[in-house]
Amino acid sequence: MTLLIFTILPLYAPSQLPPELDALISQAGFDLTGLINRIAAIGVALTLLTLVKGFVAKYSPLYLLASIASGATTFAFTLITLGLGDWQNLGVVTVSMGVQGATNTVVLNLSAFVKLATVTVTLEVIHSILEFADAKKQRSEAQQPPERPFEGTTLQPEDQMPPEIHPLFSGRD
Amino acid sequence: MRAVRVFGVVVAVVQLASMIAFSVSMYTIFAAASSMASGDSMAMELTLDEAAGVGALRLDAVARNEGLLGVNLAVGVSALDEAGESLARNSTSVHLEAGEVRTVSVSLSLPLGVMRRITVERRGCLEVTMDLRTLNDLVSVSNTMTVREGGSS
Repeated sequence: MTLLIFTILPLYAPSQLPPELDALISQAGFDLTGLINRIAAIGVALTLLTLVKGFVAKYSPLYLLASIASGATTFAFTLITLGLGDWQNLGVVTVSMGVQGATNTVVLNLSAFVKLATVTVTLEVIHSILEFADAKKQRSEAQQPPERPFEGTTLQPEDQMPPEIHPLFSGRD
Repeated sequence: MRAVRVFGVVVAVVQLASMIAFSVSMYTIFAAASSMASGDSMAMELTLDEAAGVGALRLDAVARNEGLLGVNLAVGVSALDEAGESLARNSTSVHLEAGEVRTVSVSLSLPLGVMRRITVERRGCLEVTMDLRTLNDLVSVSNTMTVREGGSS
């Protein structure tokens, strides 16, 4: 699914663009191919990380590393997408084009979502660490030998009697 | 275990909320901007009053918010000299609720000689700025059009 959304779909979508829009994008000097290639590369990385997470136990340090890397890759995806191919824009994109003796400059400011993405990715990483610590704790608890059920209890004189003379078995009241 | 799960749910809710906020604000910004960008929604009129010695430029725009959130719209007109320095500027701003339509007018008056120099002799230029903000002004798109060949667009 990750591969389909982040890699196959972006590579296929430009072929469906109307020629006028394609010409407008070229006129604005926007590198659509570069953006798509970056998104596709991120898609491949995310797919690999998802695969690793699927095959590795949650208590494994590799799972934690894959989770953190997955968060970082998602953040890179957000930066690149909101910066229209350039992560250094930090969500502020400027596009200029000349139309019939006039210059048109469009500035799109999405820096609020870059800040929001920073918060969500940080929360995601914290969650991964907590999940890893929890899985590790559960595993160590499961590996401990089971406690002896009667350990620490004092046997009463009646309990110490052999079964043949125990009141339950001797027929006495 | 339970705390980790609750934290995971909180993270998922924050992610979902940010995705919804992104989608809704982008839809609003592009719906409002595209309705403003259509040819018949904006008109500029230049008046050169020889008797009064004043050149006036008037911009009328029909602002239509077809988005899902309210937007703040600021429209400004500037006159720049050949060096790009501002000679005069006027702007106005309105708040448009979702689905609201309003007419925005901005006028710029200059001495006749200056206005003639910019619009007729083409020494200098006019700049029209349209700034749209939504989601409590957190998301914005600004369109600056610099007209270098006369005063009509």
